[in-house]
Amino acid sequence: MGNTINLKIFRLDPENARHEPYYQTYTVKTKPGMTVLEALFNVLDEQDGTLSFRYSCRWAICGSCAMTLNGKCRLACKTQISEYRGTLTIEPLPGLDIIKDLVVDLEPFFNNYRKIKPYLVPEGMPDKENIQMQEDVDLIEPHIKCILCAVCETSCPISWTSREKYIGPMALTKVYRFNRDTRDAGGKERLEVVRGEDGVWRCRTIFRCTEYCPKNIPITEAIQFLKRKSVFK
Amino acid sequence: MSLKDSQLKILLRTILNSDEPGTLAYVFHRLTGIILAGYLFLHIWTISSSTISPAAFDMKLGAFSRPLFLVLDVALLAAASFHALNGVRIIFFDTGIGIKRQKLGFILAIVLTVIIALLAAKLLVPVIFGEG
Amino acid sequence: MNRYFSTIPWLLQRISGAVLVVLLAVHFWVGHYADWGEPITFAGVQMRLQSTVFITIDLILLMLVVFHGLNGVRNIILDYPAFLPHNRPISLILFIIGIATVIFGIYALYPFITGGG
Ligand code: HEM
Ligand code: HEM
Ligand code: SF4
Ligand code: FES
Repeated sequence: MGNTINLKIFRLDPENARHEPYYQTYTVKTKPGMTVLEALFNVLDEQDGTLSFRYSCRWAICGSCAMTLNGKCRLACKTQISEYRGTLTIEPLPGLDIIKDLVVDLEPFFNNYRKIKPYLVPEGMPDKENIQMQEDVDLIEPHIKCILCAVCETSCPISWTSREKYIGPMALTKVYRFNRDTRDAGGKERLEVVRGEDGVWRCRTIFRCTEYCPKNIPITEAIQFLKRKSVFK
Repeated sequence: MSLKDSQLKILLRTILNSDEPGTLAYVFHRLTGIILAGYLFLHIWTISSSTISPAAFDMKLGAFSRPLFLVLDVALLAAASFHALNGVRIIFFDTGIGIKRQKLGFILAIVLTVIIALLAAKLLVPVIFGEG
Repeated sequence: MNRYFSTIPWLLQRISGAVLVVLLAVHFWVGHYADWGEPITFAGVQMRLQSTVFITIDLILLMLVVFHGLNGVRNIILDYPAFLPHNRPISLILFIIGIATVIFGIYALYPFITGGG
């Protein structure tokens, strides 16, 4: 079959003095099973070597390839091109500064990550290894699957307008994930970080994070759990 | 187009393109909240004509019983109904109930709002066309 | 003020909302829809406000709705720090507006209770 798709891609060249973005359309021959990321490779390899986008694993594991596909934040490597007909508009993630083309500055996102001690805080010096039983893992499934792709945070209207202030859905999911981990003893400190005005209370249960998370993590449910913890502390 | 403008455009398209109801619920709740808060101040100011004289109060509220204002009343009731119903939906989430059923909750809020508004409008028709 | 103070307005927003469902339903029904189309008159309202129950309802409604509405507006403002970054002063101004509104609201109800000017 000689099917094709038009990729209308957001372009921004930081070296261009006028620094004005524009859209460029490329036509790509599609084949069965093709992902959006593969289509982008096609453009890069065969049509335009100046196009920039992030990727690494191509397997929905590294979280690098999140972008806006027809107005929705998704992973390019996890989205089939066959979902789209005619023209697919590809833009960088919304609400973040754009560095070049589809590459955004994720520093504010990772700043939020650093705020909440995203590692296991042990209780004193352990003298033997920590054993995890299935029911211990069940407590933090599927929240443990988060790949830090930034889809949740860039889908959230509250994060858009108060990016520097609201700690965001990813950091809150991480707090949930570490606080419920049976090996962790840093729960109190983390809850103190997210209990304030710029933490859980800014979540307005809009559900966009949960809707678009490529790992299907019930993010809003986790945040609501933290709200209850914050009230009854 | 400048960089800022096109970034804003991406944001707006992302909002308009959302097919999940949570976004709509949020936008409606916020809009109806602002409308109700604005109405509240207008309302207290209207009531305060009582401090001038009973006649002044009757005149002011008499004006608000004209058909045009009755139509606005139904709109106000609809806004208040949606805000209240969606508010209850949010309070349920905060107590941990029904988070997985949020879409159904939104549909329920919309349907009940429409029913309430229709019932109110049914009361309205004879007032406008009946006594005139 | 404690950094974690924000739990309290959040909670009060939910509680006031829950109570307002009942009070507003009563308010709409009694004030308007029970005898739809009849003009609202001073005498009519005065008669109803002879009852302490209705005075109490009106006063609680007034206070709750002013708190809920202004705290809601505050929440919205907090979401746009790029335009209005001054948290504290805004909260203070809204607080003063709230107190003034409640006092003015009571003043507006007073003639009904005392029997008019
Ligand atoms: C009738 C019962 C009502 C209920 C159950 C209710 C419930 C709620 C709830 C739960 C919120 C918090 C929303 C959130 O955090 O996502 C809220 C916000 C708000 N409410 Fe109400 N409310 C009611 C009536 C009113 C009235 C009468 C007014 C106007 C005076 C009002 C104005 C607001 C405003 C301005 C907000 C902020 C909206 C936002 O944050 O997006 N509400 N309401
Ligand atoms: C169209 C619908 C409405 C009508 C006809 C109406 C009518 C009235 C009347 C006649 C009063 C005088 C006191 C009394 O009767 O008890 C009053 C008071 C009051 N209403 Fe409404 N009302 C309506 C909707 C609302 C809404 C939506 C709100 C909330 C935002 C509200 C909030 C209040 C408050 C707080 C008072 C006390 C005022 C004060 O203390 O000065 N009303 N209303
Ligand atoms: S919670 Fe989901 S959407 Fe958010 S960063 Fe993790 S994987 Fe991405
Ligand atoms: S390339 Fe790793 S998640 Fe898409």
